[in-house]
Formats: sequence, structure tokens, C-alpha cells
Amino acid sequence: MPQAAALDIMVVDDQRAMRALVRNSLNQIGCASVSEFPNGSEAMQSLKARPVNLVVSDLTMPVMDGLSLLRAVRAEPSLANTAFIMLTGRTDAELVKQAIALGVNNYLVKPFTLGTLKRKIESVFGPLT
Amino acid sequence: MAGLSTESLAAIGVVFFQECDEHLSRLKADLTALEAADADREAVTSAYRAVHSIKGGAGIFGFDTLVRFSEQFEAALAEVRDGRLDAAPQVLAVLRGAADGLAELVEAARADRPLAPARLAALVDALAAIAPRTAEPKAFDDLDFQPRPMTFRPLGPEDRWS
Repeated sequence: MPQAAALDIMVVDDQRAMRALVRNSLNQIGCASVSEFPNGSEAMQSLKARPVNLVVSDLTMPVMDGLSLLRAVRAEPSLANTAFIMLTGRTDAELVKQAIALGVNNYLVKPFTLGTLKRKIESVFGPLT
Repeated sequence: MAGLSTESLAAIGVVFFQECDEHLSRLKADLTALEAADADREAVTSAYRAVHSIKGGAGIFGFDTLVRFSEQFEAALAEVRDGRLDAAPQVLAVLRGAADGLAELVEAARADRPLAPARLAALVDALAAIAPRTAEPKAFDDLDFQPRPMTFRPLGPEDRWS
């Protein structure tokens, strides 16, 4: 049962508005340690140097998309304890199936509420305090 | 979006509309590139991403008309991207018209007013003529998925972001 404030979270999305939304939402539920990256490639570079507990990533991004990032995270032994929640649109069920096959921990359909975001994180780590 | 303060949402809204302008410029450039080089996969993929991005942000703010039109537009672009629809002149003309329509819908959302119903219907019909909508997007209810729990392990101080 981790404290929300103890979680280190990385948000990966090419849209600044969406990153701001997710960061604000995470802050609202008590998660203060949040980093942001605009694509999978930059995120992966950072993860190798500085792991996090949870990656919250969009699917559709330039340079390196969310599925490629998930694949890279799951192939990296030093990131074995990194959880991954995929942000997805309501039409992306087929891509979510691929993410499930690649080992995603959960997914979050946009638009979402703070309650849903918290429940998705708790489904991975247990209740947040 | 439920749960965030009005101030936070307003600030995010400013960024959203700035990004919409960027996406619309890119979309226009991508469609020009598609016209110049037949079946330019990179251009059509980029155009798809631009429309997809506008749709994603619009959903945050409940701009439902913008979301639905973007959904239809990206479906047409996906047809071209995946080779099921040729980027013929008449198709490109519809896509350019849809890009103009998307810009009008963004402006309508920014001004908090609806687009004229006849104009919206014409845009929707034009897209439907090249890429008929098959069905509502599949819901996620049929996914047989259980979340995968993971043990939380605190990171060392040197790894923390704050």
C-alpha cells in the first residue's frame, strides 16, 4: 500500500495539453513526483538513467509510439519493476489488445476522471494512502 | 473533465487551442505533401496524428461535435494510410475540405458556439462518401483483461524526480 507521494511517475504524450492534464490530475490525487516526455524515445533514454515506478503513456506519438515504448520497457531488465498504464482513445481497442499482449499493467481511456485515474493506479499498486 | 479546478482547466484549454493551431497547420502541409507525392505514407500518417491529437484534446473539454468529426476524419485518413483508399484527386479534395471544416469546428469550440448544422452535415456527408462509417467504435467492454498488479518498490533518493 504505497503512499501516493512516494510514487515516481513518468507521463509520456506528444501533446502539451494532455501532459498538463495528466500531471495536474496526478497532483490532485497526491502524486507529486511527475516527469514529462513528448515521445517514447526521450522517455526510454531517461528511464535507463533514472527509472520510475509508473509510466503513463499515450499510444499515438511521433518518433516512438506508446506500443514501442512499452515493448522497450518490458525488454529492459533494469525496468522490471516499472509499471505501465496506457492512455488510449475510445476507438483504440485493437491497439489496447496489442498493449495487453506486450504486458501493459492497465489502460486508461480518455477522457477520464480523477477517480478513474486513481482506481487504475490502485489496480496496479494497491490502495494509495 | 471532472475533478480539476476551473483555473487549471482554463490554463490547459489555452494550451489545447495553441496546439490545435499547430496541428491544423501541420495537417494542411501534410495534405499538400500527399498531393505532391502520391501515396506518401509519412504525410498521411502525420495528418492522421494531427487529427487524432485534436480529437484527444477535444474530449477533455467535452467538445463532442469536434470529437465525432475528428473521429470520422481520422477514419478516412486511416483508409488512405492503410492502402484501402487511393489518394485520388477527388479523395484529396474531400480531405482538404475536411481540414477546412476541422479548422471551423476548432474555431467554433474556441468561441463556444455551434457550427451551422447545414455546414456540419455537408462536411460529414462528404467524408462519408469516400469512407463510409461502418459502425460505432468498439467499446472496451469485450476486452478480456485483468489489471496486472505490481509490487511497489521505492526508488533510491538519487532516482527521484522531486
